Amino acid sequence: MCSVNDAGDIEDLNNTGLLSNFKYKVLAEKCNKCKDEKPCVILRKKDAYCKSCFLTSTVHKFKALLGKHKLIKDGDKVLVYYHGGHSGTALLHFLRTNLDLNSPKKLRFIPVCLFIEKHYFLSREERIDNLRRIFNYMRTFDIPIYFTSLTDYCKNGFSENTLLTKNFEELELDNKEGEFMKDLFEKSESLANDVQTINIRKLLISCAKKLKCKFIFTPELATDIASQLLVNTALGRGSHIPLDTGFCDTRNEHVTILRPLRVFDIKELALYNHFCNLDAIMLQTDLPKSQKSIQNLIENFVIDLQTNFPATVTTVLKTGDKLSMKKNKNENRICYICQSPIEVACQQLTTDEAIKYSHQISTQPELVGGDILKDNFGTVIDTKTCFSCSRIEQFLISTSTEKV
Amino acid sequence: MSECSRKCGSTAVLKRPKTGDKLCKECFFEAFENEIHFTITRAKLFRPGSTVAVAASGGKDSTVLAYVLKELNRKYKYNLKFILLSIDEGITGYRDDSLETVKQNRDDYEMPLKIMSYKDLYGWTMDEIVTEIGRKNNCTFCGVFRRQALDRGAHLLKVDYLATGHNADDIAETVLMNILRGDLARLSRCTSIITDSADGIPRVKPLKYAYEKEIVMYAYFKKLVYFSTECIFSPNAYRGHARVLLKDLEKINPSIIMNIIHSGESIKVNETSKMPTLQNCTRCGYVSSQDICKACILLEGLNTGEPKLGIGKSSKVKKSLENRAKTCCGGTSQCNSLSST
Repeated sequence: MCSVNDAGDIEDLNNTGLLSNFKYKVLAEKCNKCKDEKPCVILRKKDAYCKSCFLTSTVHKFKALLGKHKLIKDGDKVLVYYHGGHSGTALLHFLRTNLDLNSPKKLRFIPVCLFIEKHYFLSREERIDNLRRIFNYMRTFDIPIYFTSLTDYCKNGFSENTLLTKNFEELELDNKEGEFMKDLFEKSESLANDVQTINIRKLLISCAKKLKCKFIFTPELATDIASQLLVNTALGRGSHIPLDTGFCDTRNEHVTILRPLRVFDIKELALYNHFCNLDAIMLQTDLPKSQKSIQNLIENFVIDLQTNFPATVTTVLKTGDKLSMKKNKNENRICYICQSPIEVACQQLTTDEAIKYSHQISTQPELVGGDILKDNFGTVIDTKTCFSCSRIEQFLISTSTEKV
Repeated sequence: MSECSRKCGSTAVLKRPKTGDKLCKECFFEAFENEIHFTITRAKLFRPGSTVAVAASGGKDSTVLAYVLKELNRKYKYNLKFILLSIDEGITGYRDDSLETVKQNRDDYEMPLKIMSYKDLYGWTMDEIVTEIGRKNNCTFCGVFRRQALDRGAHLLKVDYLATGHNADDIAETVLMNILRGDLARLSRCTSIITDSADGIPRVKPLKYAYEKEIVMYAYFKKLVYFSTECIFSPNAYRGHARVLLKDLEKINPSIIMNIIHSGESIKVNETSKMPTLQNCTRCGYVSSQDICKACILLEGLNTGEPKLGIGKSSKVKKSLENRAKTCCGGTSQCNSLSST
């Protein structure tokens, strides 16, 4: 191949090393697993599988994670939190096919689905249309579905009497109810997202209790878990990492939250749905994404890093799996907002004290007197909130007082 | 124009990233210094009457550290003696210039200065190492060698403490990086204000809760002389990701830096997880998590013409070391020098 460059010289492009810079990946001839069939999927950028081996291993991964923990007994009721998308569809299909098995390996618990309506930013027609689609969709899986509303739950002061119904038409869909949430999001997207996560968790547990479910399945994928771990770190919730990102969340004594999809990435589940001829329902689940919140920023960061360093998500996940919480000799007290144990100070000086001291020294006209070794400079000894929720408390109070 | 939050009547010159309060210049000096005094006293960083080596690079952090320590020592009678300890990596156009700044600090703050050079300690300057290894991975050498050089310097000077200028931003960045790399051992110790290595000299970080922005402001308002050029060799690539993330998070809300440090402090590693144990290097005797410390492996690589030897996963390094031990004199590089003559 030849070309004439600006100076008019003829150059042999083969010798310029341009082509040798390209790395060709030779596709594997045979499936990595059965060494027989022609592969049709590449996972982790290197492992090739044929269709049947891919499907078997995907289902196996799901069942192995459940089996490893041996938490669910035969006949237990499990609340499945469905929020659309490929992950929700794959989870439902895993359940349906394994409940229907005729072998000893069949699943023996009873699933019940829950959809939480929180789409206050859509029009009433769009919201009803979504609910109807989901209602009809569930029939194909033959799993009962209940509906409840997040804004209703918040408006009713987190009451146990929030409507939980099989008939989606009973839900009150008044667009005004979302205004409080909109206010929150306008003031601080990061904290509003955090509040929403906490509220959804509370609502899930409240619904599980009403439906007599001992367990809840939530559909977070590996990327979500890795992002959540970094979000926790950035919000000062480092000590809650095992509860917020581990396989099981045992904060509530009656209901345990499990994350059975935390070992999957979206590609695996989308391919699974594709090979099983399943259509997923795609909902606009959130407000338009912006870089203004910690959560969105970190999610984008993790996805970007994952493309260049494919081990990122698994490394972060494994780091999280090896962490636990510092325990007090006596039981830790529980934060009334997020229900997590409140951190105990293990060193002589904590970040909390350093911040409180900084604030005091920057606001008081006179230098702080007293004993620098003993004074607690505004640190509350019997605090009812964890480090992170103390911000949320102030944030919620300031938002609600502004409204009055 | 806003008024100073301490109601002293002056106009505020800055908004504190840590708390959001606005301060005038004089109140800022007082607040900044008092916070470091608070950190030192509350965390019991120094025993009275001790000698402290201040790791001095000539940059803003170490310059502010040396200045503030001197001021506080006088004001609050810590009864401490200070020595500046600098490392000369041998980077032309960077370290030679910044060492001039350190010499200026020595005269200004009346502290003796000790310079340890890579050339004397290891026989290699960074300039020479970079010609061997190239622009990638050279930070590994510099980082490993500097850590040990500081330890050696501190031993030589027989000091009781080694104070480094790590600020809040550095620590938050390290927490993020260690999570991303899955480095549990470092994750669990990177937030401690005092790190006590087995028999070594404790390292303390008096600026742990001081924001980088405020350190720059302090140095600027106090007109301190410091050196502000980035290292001319490539920046550490992976740390770069953590740095970008932290800077973006800081833009959303500067208090995130303190949140991350708090998270790091409250994280605990499972008792069941395997953690490296500290031992002494079988060759040079310094503290290491492996039989042979990283510095010795890197040096061996350099001396035997295989500079990439110590780069990469420690398990892989171990393997290639074992292979070398089988094939030749056991990695003491004697056979190599014999065969070349």
